[in-house]
Amino acid sequence: MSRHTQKTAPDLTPSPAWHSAPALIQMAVCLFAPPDIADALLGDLEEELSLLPLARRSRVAEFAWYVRQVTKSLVPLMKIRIARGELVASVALSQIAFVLPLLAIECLRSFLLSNIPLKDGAEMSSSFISMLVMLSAVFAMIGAFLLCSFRKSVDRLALLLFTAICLLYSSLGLLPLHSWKAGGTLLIVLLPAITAGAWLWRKVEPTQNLSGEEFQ
Amino acid sequence: MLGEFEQIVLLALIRLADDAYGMTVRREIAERIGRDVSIGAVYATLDRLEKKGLLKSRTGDPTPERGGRAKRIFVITATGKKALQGAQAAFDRMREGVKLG
Repeated sequence: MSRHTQKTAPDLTPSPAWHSAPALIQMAVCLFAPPDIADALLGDLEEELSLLPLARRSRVAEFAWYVRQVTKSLVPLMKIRIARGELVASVALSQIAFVLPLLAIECLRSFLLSNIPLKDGAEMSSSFISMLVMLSAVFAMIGAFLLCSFRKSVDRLALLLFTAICLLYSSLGLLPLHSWKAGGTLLIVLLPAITAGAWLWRKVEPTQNLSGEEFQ
Repeated sequence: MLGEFEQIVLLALIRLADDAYGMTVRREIAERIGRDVSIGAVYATLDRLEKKGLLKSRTGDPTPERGGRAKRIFVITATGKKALQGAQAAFDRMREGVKLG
């Protein structure tokens, strides 16, 4: 009896098990892709992944495939945003949203220092720095709120840029806190503050989400 | 004037008819011409062509195999077909009488 090596067609049955697309990678897609494309693209990746031949399926292979697809897609996705002018607008809005609170902090700080007699070195005391960090957080929250109100299509990328700009100002010494330690503290405080500002805007504007799409 | 990849994408939309969305377009291109393009590149081209009015899109129904996410289905427009015909005709005219090798 002769032996035949039979070639079988790849199994295209959808895999029911794989539903754990890496959250960080999905977040990268949401950051880089315009909101109207991100959701469809993630769905496409999930569907195509489930159609991979069974022989190629293992958690590592699936993860590698997913990461490769997303990595290859980031530059074209960014190009869409640039072509639509969204990125430039987001950067501009982030600047406006941060410059306004920054000016407010500076005015307040100058006012405090000129009106309240402080002991030598009190400006660098932990309580004074804590107060400034708290004020920065409050203003960052207001900034994020303003950023979301300026334009309906402001999304997560704009908020990320906003945080980056906050840190840039901080490292350039434009904020009263410019040591690395203070910068780190500021980041820890700013991120929840910015998120809170964006959340607050969603509460005030219940018909819109951060992607500018209407709630179901 | 349409670029080579734009023409390929438009032809894929015609082939796929009502089932043309990011993943199927990507797979069609990979199966037909063996080019492994990224899904991002497919969407970038589809977005550009939509802006030119050569195709239109609509949102499909969410399905479980897509993690509950909806498809974005693309259909070529009459203008798109005309542009594709024009590009193919120009290519044919340029190729006429040319011997390669």
